[in-house]
Amino acid sequence: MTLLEAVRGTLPGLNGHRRERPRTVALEDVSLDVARGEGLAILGPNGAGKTTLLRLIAGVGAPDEGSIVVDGRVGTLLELGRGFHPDTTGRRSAALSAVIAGLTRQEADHRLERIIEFAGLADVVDDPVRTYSAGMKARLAFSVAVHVDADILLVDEVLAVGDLAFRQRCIERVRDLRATGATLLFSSHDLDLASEMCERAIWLHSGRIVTSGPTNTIVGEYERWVDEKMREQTSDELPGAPSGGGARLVPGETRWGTGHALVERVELMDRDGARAGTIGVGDAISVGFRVRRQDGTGKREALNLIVKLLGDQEFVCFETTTLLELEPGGQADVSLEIERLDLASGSYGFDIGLFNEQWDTVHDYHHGVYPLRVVGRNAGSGVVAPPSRWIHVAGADGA
Amino acid sequence: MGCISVAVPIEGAVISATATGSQPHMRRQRLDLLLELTRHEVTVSYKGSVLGLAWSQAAVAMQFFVLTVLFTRVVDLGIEHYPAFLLIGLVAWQLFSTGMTAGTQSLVQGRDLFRTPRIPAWLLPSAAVGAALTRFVLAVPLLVVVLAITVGMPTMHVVAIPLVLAVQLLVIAGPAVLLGAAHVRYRDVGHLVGVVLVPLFYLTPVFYPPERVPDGLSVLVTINPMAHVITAYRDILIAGQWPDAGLGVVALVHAAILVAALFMLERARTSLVDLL
Repeated sequence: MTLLEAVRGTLPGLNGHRRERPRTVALEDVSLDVARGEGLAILGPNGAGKTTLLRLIAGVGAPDEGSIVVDGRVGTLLELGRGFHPDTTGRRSAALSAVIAGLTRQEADHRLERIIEFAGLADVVDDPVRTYSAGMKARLAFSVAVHVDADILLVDEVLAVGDLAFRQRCIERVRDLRATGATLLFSSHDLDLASEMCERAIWLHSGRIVTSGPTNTIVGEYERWVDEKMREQTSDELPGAPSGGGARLVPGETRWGTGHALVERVELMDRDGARAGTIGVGDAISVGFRVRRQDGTGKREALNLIVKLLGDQEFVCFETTTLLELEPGGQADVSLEIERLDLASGSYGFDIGLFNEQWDTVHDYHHGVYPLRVVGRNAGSGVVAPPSRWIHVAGADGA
Repeated sequence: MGCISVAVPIEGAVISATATGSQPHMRRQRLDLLLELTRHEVTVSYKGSVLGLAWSQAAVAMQFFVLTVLFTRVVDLGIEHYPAFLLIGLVAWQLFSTGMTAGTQSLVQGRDLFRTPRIPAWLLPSAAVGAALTRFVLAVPLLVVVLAITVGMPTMHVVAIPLVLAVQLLVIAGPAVLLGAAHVRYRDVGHLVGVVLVPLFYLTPVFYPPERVPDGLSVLVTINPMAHVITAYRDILIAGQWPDAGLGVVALVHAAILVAALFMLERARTSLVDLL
C-alpha cells in the first residue's frame, strides 16, 4: 500500500471503511512429530493445507500461532528456483541457489558439475536462464535441491515436472537420499508413490488432520473417501449407454464422473481381435476403447487413464495407468494389451477410469460392467495360474 | 538432526531451525551467501550492456569534469587541488547515494529470501551496500590518478582510509535497514529517498568546503554525518593529517542506529513478510 492509502485507511470518513484482508485459516490444530530418517506422506485434496504445512516447515512464512522446530538442513522443492535470474546463466543461478540453500561457496562449486549433469543441461548451462523452458528451469532447480545434502527433504507435487525419464531419476534420487538417512515429507496425489516412499502418513482436510498412521492404512482410507467423493461428482449429462459387456452403463451406479471427457466403445478382445467375454487361462486379452474430450475450447490437457482388473469382492488383481494428452474436442483410441493373463479360472471384471492430471477429479469411471470369465484347468490353486510343472529327479546328489 | 516437530496452536509463533554443521561452517556459509548475493546484485544490474560495470563510473566521471570546469574556470572557488578535492567528495557521495537507494529496495526485491527466517534479514541490505561498495572500489583507480597528478604521493595517513570507509558503511547501513523496512510497508519510501537525495547532495560539502557554509547554516554540516566522512577522506588524502574526533562521534551514533535498526528489523520481520 502507499502512504496515501494508509492515511485514508485511518480516516473512516474518507472512504467509508478500513481495508480488511480476508483471512483464511490454512492450518489449525495440526501437531506432529517426524523422527530422523522417517518418511511421512501428506495426503489430502487440493486446498487441504498440504503445501502450507510444507512451506511453514521449510521456513517460508511463519504461523500465527504455534511452533515449529526443525533440526537439520532442509532441502525444499517448494520455492523452486530461488536465486534464478533471467539474465544470469544457468550455472551462476544454480551456484547461487545452492548457496541460498545452505552450502558454502566451495561446497557449491564442488557439486556444480553433478547438479548440471543430473539436470541434463550440460549443453545450455552457460546460456541465460531466460532462454530456458519452464521444464528446464524446474529440472535445474530440482537438481540443486537434491544435491545440497539436506537432512530433511520436503517434496511437493513438483515431482510431476519434466519428462518421464527425469521424473524417474528424481524418484530414484529421493529414494537414495532416504536410504542414507534423510527425512522425507512427501505430498503427492500419487498414492502408490507415497506408499512406497513413506512408512507413515497424515491425511489433511481443510487444514486439520483427519487421521494419521501407517501409510498403507491411511492410503486405503483416503482412497475410499476419494472414490466416494468422486461418485458424487457425477454429472447429470453423463450418458447412459449399453456397455460392451451387455450390461448398461447407468450414471450414478455403474458410471460416474464429471463427463468432461468420456470413455466410449469399450471392447474386450482376444488374441484374434474377436470380441471376448471369456478367455482361457494364460490367454491374451486386450481392452480397447476411445477417449474423447467433450469441450470444444481450452488448452491441451493431460488425462490419466486407469484400467483395473478386479476379482472376487473387488480384489484388485492388476492395475495399470497411463497418461494421455488431448486437444479440446480431441479423441484417441487406446488399448491395453495383456499378452497373457495367468489368472486362475473364475469371474473377473474390468474397471476403466479417466481422471485429470492431478488424479483428484474423475471425468468418467466405468465400474462392474465389463465382466471377464477365465476358464480352463488350473495347474494348482490360488489366484494366479502361471505355467508351472513339477520335476522329480530320482537319486539326486546329496541325498 | 533431521527431525521435525510441528505443533499448532501454542501462544505466539516460534520457529527455530538449527542448520547442520558447526558454528564456523555456518559463519563461512553466511559470508559466502553475502558475497554471492552481492556478486549477483552487481552482475545483474549490468548484464546485457556492452560496457557493463564501466557505466557505474560514467556518471561520476561526467559530474567530475563538468564541476571541475565550472568551479575552476567559470566560478573559481579558489580551492587548492580542486580536482582531487571534488573527486573525493563525488566518489564518497556515490557510495552513499547508491547504497541508500539499493538498501531501500533490498527487502522488497529480495522478498523470497526475506520470507525465509533461516536466512538472516540483514544479509539483504548488506548485499545492496556491498554492491555499492564494489562500484566505489572501481572508482579507486581514477581517484589514484587524479590524486597523483594534483596532490602527489600520499602520506602514511592513508592507512586510516579503511577506518573512514568502515565508518561510512556504518553511516549507510543503519538508515538503509530502516528505509528498507519502511519501503516494505509504504512503497512511497523508495521514491521519497530518490527525491531527498538530491537536496542532500547540495547540502553536503561535496563540491565546496564546509568552511564556506555561513555560521547560521553550519549546523547543517555539523549534524550531517556524510560531511564528517568526506572531510575525513580529504584530511587524509589531501592535507595529510588524521581525521578529527567528529568522525568518532559519527561512528558511535551510527553504530547505535544500526543496532537499533537490526533489532527492529528482526522484531518486525514476521509482520513485514505479510505485506510482501
